[in-house]
Amino acid sequence: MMTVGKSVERIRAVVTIHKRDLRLALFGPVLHVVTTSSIVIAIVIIRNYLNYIRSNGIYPMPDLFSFPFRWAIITIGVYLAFSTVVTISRERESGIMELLFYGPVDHIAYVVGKYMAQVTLYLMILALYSVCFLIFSWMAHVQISASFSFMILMSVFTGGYLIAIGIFVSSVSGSVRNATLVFLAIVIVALLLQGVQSWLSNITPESDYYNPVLLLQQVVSWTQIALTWLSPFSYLNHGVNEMLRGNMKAFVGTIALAISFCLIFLASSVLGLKFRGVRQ
Amino acid sequence: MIKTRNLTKTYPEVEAVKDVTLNVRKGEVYGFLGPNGAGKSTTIAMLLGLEKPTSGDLSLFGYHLDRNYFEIKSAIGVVGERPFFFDEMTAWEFLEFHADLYMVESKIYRIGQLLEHVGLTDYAHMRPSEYSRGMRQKLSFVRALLHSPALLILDEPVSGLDPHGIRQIRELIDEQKKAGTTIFISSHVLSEIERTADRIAIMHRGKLLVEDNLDGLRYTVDQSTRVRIEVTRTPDALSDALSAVPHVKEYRIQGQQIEISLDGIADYRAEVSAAITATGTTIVGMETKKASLEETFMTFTDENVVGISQAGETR
Repeated sequence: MMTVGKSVERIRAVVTIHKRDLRLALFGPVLHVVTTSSIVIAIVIIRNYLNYIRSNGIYPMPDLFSFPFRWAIITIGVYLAFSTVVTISRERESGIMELLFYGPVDHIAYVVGKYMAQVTLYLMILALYSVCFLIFSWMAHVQISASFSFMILMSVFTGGYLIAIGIFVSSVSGSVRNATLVFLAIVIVALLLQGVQSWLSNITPESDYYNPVLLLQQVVSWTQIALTWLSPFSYLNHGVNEMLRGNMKAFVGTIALAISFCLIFLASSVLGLKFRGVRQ
Repeated sequence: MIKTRNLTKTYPEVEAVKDVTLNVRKGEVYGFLGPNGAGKSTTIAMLLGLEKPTSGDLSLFGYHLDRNYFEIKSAIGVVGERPFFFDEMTAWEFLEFHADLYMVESKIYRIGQLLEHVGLTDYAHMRPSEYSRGMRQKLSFVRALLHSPALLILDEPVSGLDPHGIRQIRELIDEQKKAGTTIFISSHVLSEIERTADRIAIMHRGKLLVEDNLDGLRYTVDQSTRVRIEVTRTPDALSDALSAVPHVKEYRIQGQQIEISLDGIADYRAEVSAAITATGTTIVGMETKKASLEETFMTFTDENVVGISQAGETR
C-alpha cells in the first residue's frame, strides 16, 4: 500500500468534494434564481427609499443600503444553508454518501468539503453583491457609510455560521423531509421568538403578582438572550454595532465567538454523521 | 488480506453479526454466502468502516481501519448491490470525479481504457440513469477498478442481471482473478460462487457456520462419492462383484443403470470398472456425481435451522 499521508489524502478528498459541489451549484438554475431575486428585491427597496427622499427631502434612515444589503445577504445565507440540508440528506437517502465512503473519504473530509463548497459560493455571491451595491451607490449619488464595510466583513462569519447549522441539521436527520422540517422549524422559531417578544413587551400586566404574562415575558426574554448568543443573524448586528461604537475589542470578540460556534457545529456534524451513519 | 476476530454487531432489536472470525488470503477469491438476513451486508459494512463493530477486531492488509483509513480505502474497490450514481453527471464525469478522489494517474487514458474494455465508450457521455441495469453494473465495476485495487469487495454483483449481463460481469471477475486481485464476493447466486471462489464461507443468522474450499465443504456434508454407470447388460454376477469391491458403501441397479455410493472422496473408479467388466458386461458411460454447492449450502443452513429450533424447544 502506498502511504501518502493522512492530511494529504484528506485534503484531496475535501478538494474533490468541494469542486464537485461547486460545479453542481453553479451549473444548476436555482442558485442563480435566488441570487437574482434577492438583488432585485434589494433594488426595489433602495428605489423606494430614493423616492421617499425625493418626495420628503429627508433620509428614511441613516444608512440607505444597510437594510437591503442585510436582506440580500441573509436570504442567500439561509438559501445556502437550506440547500446544504437538502443536498446532504438527499445524498444519504440516494446512497451517494455511502458510495463516497467506499473510497478515501472520511467524516471530517465530507463535512469540511461540503462546508467549503457552500462557503465559497457564499463568498462569491457576497463579492458580487458588494460590487452591485457600490454601483447602486454611484448611480444614486448616495455615499456608502463606513459601517457597510464592517457589515460585509461580519456577514462572512454570519453566512459561514448559518451553513454550519445547516450541515449539522442534515448530518443528524434521517431523511430529506425530517431535515427540511427541522431546519425550517429552527428558522421559524427564531423569527417567531423575535415577534413574540415585541408583542409581549406591548402588553401591560394588570397585577405584578403571579401574572402569566410577566412569566411569559421573562421566559421569552431569557430565550431571546440565549438566541442572541446562538443566532447567526444577531451576530451580524452585534458586530457592526460594536464597530460603530469604536469598540474594536468587542468586534473581534464577536467574530471569534461566531467562528467558535461555527467550529462547534461543524465538529458536532462530524460526530452526528458518525453516530447517525452514512447508510440509508 | 482480511482478518476478523469475533466480529459482532448488535442493534437494539437484533444481533446482526455474532462472533464472526474470517481469514481472506492474498490473491484468492473468497465467496461469502448466506440467505437473506444472514448478516453478510452488515459484515461488509463493518469491513468498509460504514458500521462500527459492537465488539471484535478487524484488519485489512494487516492494518486497522481506524489507524490507516485512507491507505486502506485507497487500495479497495467496492461494487455494492445497488449501483449508486450522481444523477446530474454523465458516466465520464462520474468516473473523472472518482479518479480525482483516488488520485489516479493519467486518468483520461485509464477511464478511456476501462470504458472501452467493457464496451461503454459510446455511452460515456450519457447519464447512468439512461443506462440498462447491466450497463450500470459494468460502470460500477469500472469505477471500482479505476485505481487498480489490491482488494475487490463485491456485494451481490450479478443480482438482478439478465444472463448476458451475468456473463459480462463474470468475465470481469475472471480477469481480475487472473490479475491476482484478492476478491471478496458476497452473493446468493450459488452457481457464481461455485464457479469462481477458491474458498467459501457460509453465514446464517449472523453466525459463520463454516469456512473452507468447496471440496472441504462437500466432504463435511457428505463423506461419500456417488458414481452413475451405464452398462450394455446387467449379468447376475454383477451384484456379487460390486459387493466385493472394498469401498462400495451401497449400490442400486435399475435397468442398465448402476448407482454406486463410494466411501470417501478418493477416486475408486478404476477398481469399480474392473469389477464390472470382469462380469462380462461393457461400460458405455460413467459419471461422478458430487454434491453441488446448492446442496451443500442447503444442508448447512437447514441443519443449522434444525439445531437452533431444537435448542429453542429444549429451553
